[in-house]
Amino acid sequence: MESERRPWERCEAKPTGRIRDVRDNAGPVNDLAGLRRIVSGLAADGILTWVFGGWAEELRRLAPPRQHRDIDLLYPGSDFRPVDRLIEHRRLQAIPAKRFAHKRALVMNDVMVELFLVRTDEDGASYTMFWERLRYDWPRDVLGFVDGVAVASASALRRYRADHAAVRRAAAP
Amino acid sequence: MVMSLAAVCALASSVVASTAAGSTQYCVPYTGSGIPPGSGIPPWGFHASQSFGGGISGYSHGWGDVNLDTNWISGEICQEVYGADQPIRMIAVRLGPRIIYHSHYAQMWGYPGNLVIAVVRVIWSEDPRCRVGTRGHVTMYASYNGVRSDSIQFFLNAGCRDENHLYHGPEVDAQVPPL
Repeated sequence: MESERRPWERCEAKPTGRIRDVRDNAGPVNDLAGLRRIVSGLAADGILTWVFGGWAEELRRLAPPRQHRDIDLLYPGSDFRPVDRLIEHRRLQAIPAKRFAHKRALVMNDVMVELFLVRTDEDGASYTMFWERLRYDWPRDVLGFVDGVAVASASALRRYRADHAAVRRAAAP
Repeated sequence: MVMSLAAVCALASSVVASTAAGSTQYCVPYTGSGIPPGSGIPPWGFHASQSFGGGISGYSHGWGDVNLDTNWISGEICQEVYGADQPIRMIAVRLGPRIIYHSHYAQMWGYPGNLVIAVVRVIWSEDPRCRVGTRGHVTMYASYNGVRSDSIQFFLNAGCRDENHLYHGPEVDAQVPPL
């Protein structure tokens, strides 16, 4: 990792001590340009991620454009060691309450960014182990690409949207 | 994409397997230059060396075949980790057959390039905690447009996580499809 500033740092505001919510009407902090900056900034440090959640649904035209409170990203890896090293090296603002084996959460440009770990099993299938309790299998095409951005596939988004409540019920502490 | 030849690495090895005393030895000496195996440009291939800090360094290389249309890949990668008064530790992984993801328009390290993420399985290990058969994936990235910022990264599961190293920098020379 190099020490120069990264794209997301260029417009970084002074720490506010809280996560800004777009409903505060405090300014367009979570727009598409910001999303691209964060994804490309992570990739510039070797952390490849795929846009997931509401932003991905919008980019895949599965949902109409809307304001987004946070940014969800899929991170293919065996664990979060590379991400944790980046957090330490860049002194990024992690959210300890959202630190789990399957998830890391950061505040970048005042927006909450959640990374979900996508692992590879003994058969080469992609899955996430939610709270170390529930294995959630992703479709084979989970990692996709649209409009110049790495985005989770439509099938993955549809499946997870349908399963989300059940995953929370079954696995959340 | 980097097509230039790189300096011959003193610790260069080869994943060409040979059989000795009933066991298969991977990572046998290789003294070629450029992208292995040394005769022409393989469908995919790389060699890389990296300092990991603490006096520990690593060398890795591999090559094989690929069909992006069918998300199929084959080949092997070898890695040697050495230094800090520790014995050389070697692992080898076999790629495929599934490609998890590939892109001609990936962005990594601040540059566009080709990216292939493929399933791997450990086929040789000198790390007692890293068992043969352990799965994971590898990310192979090659920048283009005259930029040299290639990288190789291992993401192995279970006891093989200590072998998860990142190679990135001037000592990484990769050919990642499409050409």
